[in-house]
Amino acid sequence: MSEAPPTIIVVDDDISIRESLEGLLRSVGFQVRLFGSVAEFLAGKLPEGPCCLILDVRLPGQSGLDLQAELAGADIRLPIVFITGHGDIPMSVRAMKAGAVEFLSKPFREQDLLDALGVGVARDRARRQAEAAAAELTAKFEALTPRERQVLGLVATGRLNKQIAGEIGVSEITVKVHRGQVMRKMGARSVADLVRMADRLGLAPDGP
Amino acid sequence: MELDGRADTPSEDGLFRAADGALADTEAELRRLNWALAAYGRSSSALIHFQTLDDLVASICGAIVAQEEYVIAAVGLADSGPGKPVRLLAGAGPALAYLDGLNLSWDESLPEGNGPTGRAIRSGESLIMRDALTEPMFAPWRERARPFGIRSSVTVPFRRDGRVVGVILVYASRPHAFGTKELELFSELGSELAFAMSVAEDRAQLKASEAARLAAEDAAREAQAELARAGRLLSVGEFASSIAHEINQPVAAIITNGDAALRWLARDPPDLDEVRAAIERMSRDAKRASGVVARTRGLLAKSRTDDAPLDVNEVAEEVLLYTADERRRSQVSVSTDLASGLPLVRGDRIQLQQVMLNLILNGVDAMKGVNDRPRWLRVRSALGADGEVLVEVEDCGVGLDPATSDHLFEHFFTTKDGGVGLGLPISRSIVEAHGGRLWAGPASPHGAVFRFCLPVAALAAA
Repeated sequence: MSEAPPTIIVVDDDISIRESLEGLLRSVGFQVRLFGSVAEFLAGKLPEGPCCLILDVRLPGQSGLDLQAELAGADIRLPIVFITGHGDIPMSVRAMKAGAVEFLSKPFREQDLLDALGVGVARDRARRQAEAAAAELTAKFEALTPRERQVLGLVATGRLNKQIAGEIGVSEITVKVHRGQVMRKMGARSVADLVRMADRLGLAPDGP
Repeated sequence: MELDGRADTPSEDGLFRAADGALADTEAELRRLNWALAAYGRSSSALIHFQTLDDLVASICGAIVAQEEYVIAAVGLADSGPGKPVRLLAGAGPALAYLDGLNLSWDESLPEGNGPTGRAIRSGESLIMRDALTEPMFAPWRERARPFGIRSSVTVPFRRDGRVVGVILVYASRPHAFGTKELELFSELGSELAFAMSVAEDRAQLKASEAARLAAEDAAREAQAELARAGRLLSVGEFASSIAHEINQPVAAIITNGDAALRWLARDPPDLDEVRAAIERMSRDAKRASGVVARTRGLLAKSRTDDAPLDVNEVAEEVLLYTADERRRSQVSVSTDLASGLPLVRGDRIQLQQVMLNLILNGVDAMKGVNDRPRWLRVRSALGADGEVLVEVEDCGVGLDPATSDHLFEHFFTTKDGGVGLGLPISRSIVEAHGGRLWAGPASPHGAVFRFCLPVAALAAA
């Protein structure tokens, strides 16, 4: 599965800063989107591939820290690298506590910025992959019949086929058939694999 | 109860206690009754809808004199001040001029306090003066009343909280014009009036307390804004931070552009178009930074003389730099149209900066409430028709109120929350001290434009 190239989104009201960042970021192979204000950024759509946001702290209208809070509130987990011309410690502490990747004062060392963006993009990529995997797993689980889900839940709690058969009132043979179906549909390579999937799906063992 | 037939016998004080003055003429009685009802109806509607007490009284008096034989209807209030004057609130009727300059009083010790009005107020009872020609008590006013055709009158006191506070005065063009029905009507109107007065007072008190609350809030806001303003004007720290920011931005951009240029150059093959673009941005940003430094130097070099040759464009740019933070905060974009090659003017740089600063901050303030259009400020300079140097600061804010624009340059006149009303007058006196003029006008389609002109320096400074 080929992934779209990473995109860096720049929100800064100073055109000199925006344009210089665009030149630098394209030179290292990023796609770049520039915005002069939070409002402009919010009016646009997020790019497809992994992204990282470069955000000026002090912006006209809504500040960068406001945007950070707003994105968190909307559960948009976009990694943020803050840049500021008036960096102060309380501000950077606040930004970092709220999950920023990095807080850089202008002028910043190019390597510091690129390192931070590398971390941000990797974080976003990992999050996207985890979300995609979780979505896939959920889709597989939802493709199971109610009986198969029941069997999966009981397998995950470590019950033997015989116990399961007794518990749900079918023959042991039938349990074996269900179990085989579950393994196949979920794409599990082993029982241990299946148990891990059940765990990730939140079907944690509720008994001893 | 006196009957009308016997009522011409004067009472001991020469007046008649208001009493049953029923007329024998039933038809006239009916006619009057109808009128009375109409007058009362009109007044009642006025009582419900009145805006101010004066309006209400005027409307009641108007309703009374709608009856042709009544030539004056007026309402007076009993004042407890020296001489106990009766202050006329309002009146109506063709003979109203009779009351002009008439001293009415309810002070027993004064001659004018012993007419019908004074006695009615003191006694709290209505008094009828049946015939102006024969009534002894009316003798002091008889000659005065004659040209007005006044022949009889009634004085009806009204009370608030049991105390007489005023009278309704009605004068008629024929003798014996007042009977029981009229007295009842006027008494009724009097008590309605008293009620309306207390309503009006309650309203006024409510208004006053509301006004006091608003004034207190205003004062608090003003103090706060003034503090903020003083801080803004005096804070060297903020000024320095503004300058630092202005320089730091292009410097940061130059560094990043340099890094980018090196990376494009290090590619195989090098992307020279990108390198060129980055270098062009570096050059542009370097000029921007150097401009900031040059203007800062001008701003900080406090000229010791107050009469140096000056470039108004420099002054404008220095102040625009100074106000960059404020404009950013207020989301005001600024455009400049500064004429090149302007002659120098002579003057005090700091003082002219103050003028510019004030005009620009005024413009920014005027746009604070503007949310339906971009907020912009335009600063222009030009050579005037008579060779003087002209500077304009135009905003697209709320504009000048024609009702108050005449007062713009008066001390302590302000239309702004937290304004002190000194900025424009001081600015004008500074400009005038420089031999120039400062004036204001409306901008089209929104806002205001402030202009000042300064004479050019006759000779270069020695």
